[in-house]
Amino acid sequence: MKLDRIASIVFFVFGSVVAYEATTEQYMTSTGPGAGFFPLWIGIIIMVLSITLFLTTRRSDTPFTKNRSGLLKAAVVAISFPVYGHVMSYLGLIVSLVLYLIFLIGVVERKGWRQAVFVAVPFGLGSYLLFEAWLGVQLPKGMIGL
Amino acid sequence: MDGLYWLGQGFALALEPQNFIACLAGVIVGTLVGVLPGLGPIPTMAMLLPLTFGMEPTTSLIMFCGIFYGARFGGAVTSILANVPGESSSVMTCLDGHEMAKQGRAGKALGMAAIASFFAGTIGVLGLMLLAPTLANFAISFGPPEYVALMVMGLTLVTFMAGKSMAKALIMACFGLALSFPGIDIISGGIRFGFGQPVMQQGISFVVVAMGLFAIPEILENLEEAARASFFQVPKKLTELLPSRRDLRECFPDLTRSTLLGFFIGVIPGGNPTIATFLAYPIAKASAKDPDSFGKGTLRGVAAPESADNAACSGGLVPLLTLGVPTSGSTALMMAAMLIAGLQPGPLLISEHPDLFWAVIASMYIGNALLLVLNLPLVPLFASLLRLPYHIFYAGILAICSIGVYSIGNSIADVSMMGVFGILGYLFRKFDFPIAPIILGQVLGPILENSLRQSMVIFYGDPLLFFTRPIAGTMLGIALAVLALGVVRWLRPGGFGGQEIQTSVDV
Repeated sequence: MKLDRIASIVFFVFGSVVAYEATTEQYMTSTGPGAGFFPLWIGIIIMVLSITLFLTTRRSDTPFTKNRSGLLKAAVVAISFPVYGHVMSYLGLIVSLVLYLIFLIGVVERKGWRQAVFVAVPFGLGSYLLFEAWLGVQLPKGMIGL
Repeated sequence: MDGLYWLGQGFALALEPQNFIACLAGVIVGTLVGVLPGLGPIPTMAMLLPLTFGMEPTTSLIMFCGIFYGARFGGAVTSILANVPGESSSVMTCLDGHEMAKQGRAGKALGMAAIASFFAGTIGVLGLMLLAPTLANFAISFGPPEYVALMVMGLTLVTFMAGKSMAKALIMACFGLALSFPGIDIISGGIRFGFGQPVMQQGISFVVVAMGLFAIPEILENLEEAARASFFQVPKKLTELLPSRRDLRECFPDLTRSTLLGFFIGVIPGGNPTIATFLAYPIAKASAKDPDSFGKGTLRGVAAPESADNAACSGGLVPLLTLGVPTSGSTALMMAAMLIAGLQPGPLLISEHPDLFWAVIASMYIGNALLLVLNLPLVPLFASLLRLPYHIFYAGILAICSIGVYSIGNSIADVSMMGVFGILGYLFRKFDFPIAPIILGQVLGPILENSLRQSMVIFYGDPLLFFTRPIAGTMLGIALAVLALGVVRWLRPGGFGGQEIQTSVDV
């Protein structure tokens, strides 16, 4: 199916979720429009626009990617970031940061462990010095306390 | 004239050693911290506010202004070098600025950002000096219906300029509006769109979304297209590193126009620098002889939003200093600094403390000049960051962004959310949906909604009454005309020949 059509279906669903959720809020109160007023209309507008997009798709299919291995690498990095965020809640920011950098440089980019560690550790150290020590930002601590 | 005398006094005060050093320190620190992706002007100023405790009011305010300008320039640096907008008003700078960096012209982009800011700042100070009382009167005539009309006009202009498919751009703008829904409803006080998740209940932070949608997809796309060792062409000659005189001449009309536009938008309470940049860019694009060059790395694409941004900040000081009403996050922080220093911003400020008022004005001008002088030599240094091997560069960006995002709300969930938006942003690019309208929608959402609700109360629920107010009616009329144009352009057969996938954001 053409890309635009897939997108329009996804957005139609999104718009309907917004509109539905909006109906659980008050539409109009005695003092004016309620919390559901604006979201409902926006949800409806999104649905209408999605239908329009679906009906007027004219473009021919263009390939999703020209480089499959590149796409794979991009996908790995894309997914790794939220995972890194999740790991942070267990190991603390600095430790997770160092591990993440080692992962990116050593595993994803395959530049070797030495380079990975040589970049990751100073970076982690520097971040700690800059943010915690100097700027006083409280970075999340993990189980190790770092 | 009275104003000139006081401005002179202000300069004298601002140039006193301790004040000058405070300004200098502020500019340097502000730039350094502002350069860190994710730390835009607002978090930077908030973090450095404690430094101003214990200083004399004038000195602390001057330092604060220096930090403010420095941080904004730092935000422009990250926008250009890494496609990471430091705050919503830097988003437009990313479009052409980062393209220029990829083409090896980062120095010119950075230099233009500094020059545009200086230019706009100078004119802004003049405007402030000459027009403050008059403008305050104009600002008062803006009520909720005018805001609604302004926002709607802004949204339609941006979606019109966003490329071939207005439907897609409008969907994106509405998506952005929808992102502003979760959280506490200001008028009723209840939580909506929470879905029972604390992460949603506290609202979706704009910075998380912007960084996710801009920084990550850029990196992902580069990884996908891959195989090049160095993604940035770095120029060898120094002369290529700064805008030439010819460049400046070319940009002059855009600079002037955007400055004026930005200043007036800044004057309106609630008119913030973001909407100024979002209007300045499409207008500059529409006024150009070669509109298609926008989005592909044209210097004017950096000059317009940067000057509008700075001018709107100067304009934003008018309501703050004359009415005591802050118009944006940054001006609100400045108000905080004033209050801490024991000053009450408002109509009496100018008459009770003229020396302070004019010293602040003068120091803003000095701050801008310092920025220019300090940062132009630093431009080669910033540009040389691009010489790093790309895998180190992007890993570093991701790492710093994660810290920056975390530090905004002390929330780890924000980091994961940034990642999710990164994936979304990448998909949007793949499916050829423009990303910039999302940002505008999210930033304007709350203001638009509240103004709309208030307007409905004023009009007893009859939307047609919008047109009975001249300013609102005019702006809405423009919006409708733009929408109609968009539909016509879209429906015209043959308007869709030979499209390629847009790999970079085309507004």
